[in-house]
Amino acid sequence: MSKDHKIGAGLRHQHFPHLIEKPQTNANWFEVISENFMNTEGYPLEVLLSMREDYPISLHGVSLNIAGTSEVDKNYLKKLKNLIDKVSPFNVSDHLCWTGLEKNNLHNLLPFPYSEESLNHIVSRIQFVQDYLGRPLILENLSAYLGVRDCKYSEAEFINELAKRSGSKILLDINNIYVNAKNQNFDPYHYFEVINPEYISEIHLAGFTDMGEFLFDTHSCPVFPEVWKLYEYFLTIKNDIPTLIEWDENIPEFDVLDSEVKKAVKLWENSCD
Amino acid sequence: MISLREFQERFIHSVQGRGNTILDYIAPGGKLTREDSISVYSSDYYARLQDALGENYEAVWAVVGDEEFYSLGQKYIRSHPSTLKDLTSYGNKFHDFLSKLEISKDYPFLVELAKFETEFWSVFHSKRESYIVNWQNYLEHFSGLSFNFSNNFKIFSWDYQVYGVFECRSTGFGDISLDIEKPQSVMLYKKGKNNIVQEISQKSFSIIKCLMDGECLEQIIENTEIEIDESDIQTTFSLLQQSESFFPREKE
Ligand SMILES: [Fe+2]
Repeated sequence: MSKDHKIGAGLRHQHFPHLIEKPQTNANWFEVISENFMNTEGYPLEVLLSMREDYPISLHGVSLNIAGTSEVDKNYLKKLKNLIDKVSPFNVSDHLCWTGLEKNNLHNLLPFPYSEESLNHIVSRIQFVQDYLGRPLILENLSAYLGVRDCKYSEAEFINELAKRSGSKILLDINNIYVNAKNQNFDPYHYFEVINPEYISEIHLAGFTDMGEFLFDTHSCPVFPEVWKLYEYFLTIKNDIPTLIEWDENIPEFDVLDSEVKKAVKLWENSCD
Repeated sequence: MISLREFQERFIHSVQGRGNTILDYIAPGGKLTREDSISVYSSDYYARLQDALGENYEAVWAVVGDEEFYSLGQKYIRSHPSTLKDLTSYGNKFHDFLSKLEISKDYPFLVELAKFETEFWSVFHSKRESYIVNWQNYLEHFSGLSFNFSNNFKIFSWDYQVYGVFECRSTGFGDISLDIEKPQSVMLYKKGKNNIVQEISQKSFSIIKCLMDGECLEQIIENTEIEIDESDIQTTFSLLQQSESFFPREKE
């Protein structure tokens, strides 16, 4: 297996005891949830810094609330910047969503209207954050269980426009595209035709749960064949983007996660032939 | 279309069961109805906060049982929306909340247990701090010394075996014969990456409390409210020295 791929794995605390022993891994980089390390100076941060000695790390947040309408939380940004200084990540990302209002955080990645008002609002917030952090922000397309009616833009159009106007980058979660395509009844391949690959700085792959009435983005199982297919297709468009396997619930032994990494590496290798 | 702000306010109201005013603006996913699509977010919200409480107050959970803990959690969540960015410290008013409920009479140690859990996790997430002191250099004026303590160093004194209960949080209370109604004092500190909880005598607790308040040994010995002898002092200082959590204050 080629060593110079850009496939990584989500680092979760369940794997700390295994990874702290510094085993060989297929994963060439790791991503962590920023908030899990912003309010600790204890053991979790020690493990992360030890991992950083051997691997590139990316920081992935869930609480930036970039589409929120309460004031940007400066204290949060300060803590994030502090963590960035400690970890020197190659990517710093969050989600294109809102999470709550002041004094009432829903702790979830929430959908909002893809309107002109939202676009202007988010562009100015992104610029503020980018100025503060001194680096481009990378925003992930989210999975949703409802859409907003009468939107001016489709999701892919909105994301393109946002990147164009703000200088932010895109984290393209292919599982989320698939989940939304099924839930909202559109063609996932069409998404790739709209989205501008030049803006994409990272790819996510993960598993969902079929709830019968809808697909639920649970990150609780291996990547589905349909999503691998989409990834394979995407590799024909661009194949040099860091790609991550995420697994957040029912977290298995590290080897299981690492074998998902191996599958992605194989597909990437095929795309190079 | 309503403004982004109004959309978000309506969305939150709907998720938290305060009037489903978002429905006209949304298109449900999959085969869900509009109400059901909001319920997906609503269930997720309550479950996520309940999980956070469960992680932070595992011992309280073990004491009151699944059903009661779930019901306490749901009441707490409804009266304490999260203002945090991450849920690591969600529930830091849980002990206050419990103290106002009947259940704290059924389990008179419950409030103290919740407080201890809050402190335990805050020490876990704090930075390592240890003070290696060459005590030989201080022997001459030892009884006149006052000390500084690490922020990671905490002491507790209870009328019940609160730490005993905490220790059973993951194993349950089945096989353990715990005389809950026995007073207990402990010190909590961090050594390396680990939290250490050390049981101490009531007298050691009193001595350490005075030291933490800035008194020197001389003052403590003169204090007639605490009856201590030579061996109490020795035991206490030997425990403190093992903790590496304190050091002599330099004289101004
Ligand atoms: Fe993702």
